Parts: sequence; structure tokens; C-alpha cells
Amino acid sequence: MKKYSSVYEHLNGGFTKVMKQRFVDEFSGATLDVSKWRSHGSGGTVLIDQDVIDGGLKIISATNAEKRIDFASANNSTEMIRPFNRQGCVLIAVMKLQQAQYAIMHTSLTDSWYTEGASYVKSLVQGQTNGNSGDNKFRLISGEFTNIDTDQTGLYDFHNHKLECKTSTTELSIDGILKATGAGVPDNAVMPTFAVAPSEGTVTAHGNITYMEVYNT
Amino acid sequence: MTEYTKSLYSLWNKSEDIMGAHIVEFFSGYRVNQRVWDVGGSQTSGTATIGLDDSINGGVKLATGTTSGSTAILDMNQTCQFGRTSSIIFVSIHSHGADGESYSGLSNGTSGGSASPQITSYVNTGWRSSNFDLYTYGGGAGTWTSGTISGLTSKHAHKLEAKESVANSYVDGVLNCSSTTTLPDDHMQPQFTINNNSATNKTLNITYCEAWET
Repeated sequence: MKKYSSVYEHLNGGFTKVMKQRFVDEFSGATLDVSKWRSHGSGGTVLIDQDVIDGGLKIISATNAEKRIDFASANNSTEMIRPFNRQGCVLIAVMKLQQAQYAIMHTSLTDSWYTEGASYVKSLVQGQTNGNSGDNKFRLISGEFTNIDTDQTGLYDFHNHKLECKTSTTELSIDGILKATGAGVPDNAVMPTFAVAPSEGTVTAHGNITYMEVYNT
Repeated sequence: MTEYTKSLYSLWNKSEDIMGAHIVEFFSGYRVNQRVWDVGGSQTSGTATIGLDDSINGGVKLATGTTSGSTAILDMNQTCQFGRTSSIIFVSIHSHGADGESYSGLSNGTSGGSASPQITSYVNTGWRSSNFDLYTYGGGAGTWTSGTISGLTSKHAHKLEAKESVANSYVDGVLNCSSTTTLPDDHMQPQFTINNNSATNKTLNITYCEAWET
């Protein structure tokens, strides 16, 4: 049954193709791999969900701030690593929103550590808030096109989120089914993120991620 | 097929196989994984630097800087877990079509260069051609074997395999050249070295490295 002796050949169907940049994290082990990630945001915690089956990485925000991980140094725009093509890359993340109310969780492809100043595409899970139109929705979010709500159910279950940036559109698939297509892509080369945040009120948002893979197509 | 689809192990091995050392590195993230790779001060000289590159498909970048004679070496600090019959695949690109010198592959020792047991892809247009040559060192001597494939400034997938009686170099799946002399006679680690012979910055970007016992 053995087909190839290397990961490379399995990923590329042989050895004739020159593979592009790829990133993989299974979020297993004792601590977050700080060679891959840096965390940002005031307060909150980022930790491996130890002794929990399929726990992966757990992020708990403070009550008033987003908590996230990405490829940026401290909050400094001059120290970021963005190896992925805004017009040809895929992000796959298996993640779960744990907090029942007033919480948002998302994974994104972004060109900056600073959310408000970034050009990005996000797969976002939004819990119940106070009548926001995105309440209890899985959404494709971007500053490059109008946000799109999907019909995905199972808000507080693990799902496989796939973001694909194509030449001029971004597609969101969940659990293998295309759910939304946005008419735009980020403005610059991008890095991946995973984040949770309170949407309102004084809750601590909580999300788990067990797998992330990003690659240029 | 179902029997083998649940584990990475079964992708590479038959169930009765006992897998040897195997490393996979994508060179992605915030910084070079220093649990695996040595990027300490002794790995660079002059104006050379080593770090992940903030560019599309940048991977890790070894740069000499502009001081002539500067050297950057990326390896595992002599953690040589791969025997003399091992293979390595790496994807890399040089910044320059002339001058500069690089060794990329499996090598023993922490100094880089030609005087250690190794199987490496060698580039130096100063006294070799602009093709990817194969360099092997064993038994106290080394052999440069002329490659047949060029394209230093394009990204290529290289595979080097050291067998009992032959060393092979493949580029993008095509056999580039082979050698049957001075084959490596010691265990090795992945190692990438670039040095400068002029006041022009030379770089080597690597986006993937995989090595394993064969």
C-alpha cells in the first residue's frame, strides 16, 4: 500500500512539481509553538487544552479585548511574516466556539496584526448578541466585500472551515460544502490568524482550534 | 486503502516497516523553529543573516549581506540522525545567477564547506558551470560531479539520495547527475550554506526540507 517514501511526494502526487509555501499546526503538545505563533491582545489566555480529548489550543479572551495568534511579533507592523498569496492560497482550520453568548471566534488571512487597519478575509462564528444581524451565524467577513451570512448550523460544534483566496474572489466552505463566495481578496500578502473576542457585555470569549493548514495554490 | 488512510505513518511505510529518522520542515510561522534548527551566532559571519522571509513563498532566507566573505549556515548543530544511506528533498531558489557559493543537502560537521562527509547540491559559477552540481565527500576526499540542469534563480525541488554504491541528484523529478565515488561515510544532518565572494548580497530561500533514512 506504500506509495511514496516522502511527505513531499504524497502532497504533490510525485516529485515533478515544485511545491509552494505551506504551514501546518496540529496544536498538540504542552504549550503553543512559539516558533510558529505570537499572541496579541490585552489580558486573556492562550494555552493548549491539556487533558481534554480533541482539545487542541484554547484561547480565552479578556472581557473587553480580542485575543489572537498570528505570525506577527508584538504589536508591531514591521515584524510580520506573510508568505501566502492573496490571490492563490487556502486556509483550513478545525475550530469550535465554546462560549454560548456574546462571543465571536474567527480564523482569517490578513496582511496585518492590527485588525482595524488590516485587509483580510475571515471565517467568523458569531454567538448570540443583542439583535445583531449576524447573531448565531457562520459568516464570511471582509473589508473587501459585503459580509455574507451562511446557512451553516451547529454553532457550538467543531467544524472544518476552508477559506480559499482565488484571483479576485474568496470562497468559504464548511465541512466540505461551499457556503459563500465574496467578490474580493486581501490587498497584500497574508498570514493566518485564529482569534476570539467578546462581542458585547462582560463575557470572556472562548474558542478551541485543533488543526490549521495554509498553502499557496 | 481504508487501512492506511488514518495515519501519516502508513503513508510512508508498510505496516511491517520500522520507520527510521524522518523530518519534515515547511519553514512557516513567526520565526525559524529553534528547537530544530540552529540559527545562533556561530551560524553566520560578517553581514550574513538567517530568518523567515516576509514575502510570498519566502520560507527561510539565508542572506550574506554585502560584506565579501560572509557566510550563513542553517543546520541542526551536529544532530546527525541520518545515516550514510539517506535522502533529502528541498525546495529552494538562489537570488543570483553568478558568483557566490552554496552547499545544500545532508552533511556532517558544523562548518559547512567541502571538508566533511556529505551529499550536497553545489552551486558556484566562479569555477563550475551554472548547473546544479552534486558534491559528495567520504573517505577523506570529495568529488564534484557536473550537473546537467541549470536555473539557479528559479525555484526547484531537489532530491538527493545517498545509496550504498551511488549518489543521485534529481531536480524537479528529473535525474540531474550521479556519482559513485567518495560517497558519504558518516551520519549527517540537513545543512544549507551560502557564502559571498563579492560585496553583493547573495540569498538562498528554502521553503521545504524533508529528510529520511532510506
